[in-house]
Amino acid sequence: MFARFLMFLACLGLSAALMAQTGHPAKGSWSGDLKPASGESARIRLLIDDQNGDLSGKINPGRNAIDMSKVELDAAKMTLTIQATTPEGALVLTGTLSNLGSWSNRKYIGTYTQGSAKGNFEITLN
Amino acid sequence: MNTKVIAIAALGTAGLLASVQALAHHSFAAEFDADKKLAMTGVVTKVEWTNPHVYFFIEVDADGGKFEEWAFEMGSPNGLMRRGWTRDTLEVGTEVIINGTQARDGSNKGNAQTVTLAENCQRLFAGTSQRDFVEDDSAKSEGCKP
Repeated sequence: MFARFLMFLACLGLSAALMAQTGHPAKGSWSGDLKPASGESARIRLLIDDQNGDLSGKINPGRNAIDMSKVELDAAKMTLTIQATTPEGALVLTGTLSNLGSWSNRKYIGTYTQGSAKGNFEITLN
Repeated sequence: MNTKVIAIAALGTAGLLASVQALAHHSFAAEFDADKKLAMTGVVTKVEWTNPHVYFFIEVDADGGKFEEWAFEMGSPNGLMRRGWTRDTLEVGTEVIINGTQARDGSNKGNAQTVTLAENCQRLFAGTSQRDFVEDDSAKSEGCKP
């Protein structure tokens, strides 16, 4: 009986660590740079939320945040597509999520177009 | 007998995991240097509302487009809530002005003494554990104009 009680306590302790796991791989706060083919890099921040598989988010959250019009993950290829309308034109980010097992170095890397500009981006989960 | 051994081993493992949190609790002087004053403006990228200390992370434009991440420690969730904070007081994307002290090891980590919202210059005391801390007006000199 005492042993079972000990095991119950152990399970309670372990559950705290298990509850720290999060759900959707795209969910969270991301920061990185848009690197146009010509010109200077521009900082970009993403805040992505997951409601039962439905993704939504904001570009550069804060006072000048822009709502994402589309956030879609192709789970088979881990390809994440984000669309938004920005003052510089339509923004489309298409890239792959990698290092999914990492808390500090999860990456979203790919290419983008924004109006007539295009380039690469590298964004890291905060 | 065998079950008892397994149970004790499992309890020991749980205890080890719990000790990680306990280790995170420390005195101010052990980790931060009161003489290394910090005043910086940045954008909140993450908030960890956990015991024994709440942490938040900001991105600081350190050198014309080169961004640095800084981590700031505050008081405990309970202590902050007694001062009027909630989990949503600091949201990702909020621009803040921080006054605090830097970690002794010189890393991009600090103990936040005051957090001022750049949007409206509202100052939020961060529940520092520094004993002789006295609030001052240096945050306002960082560009906050009420």
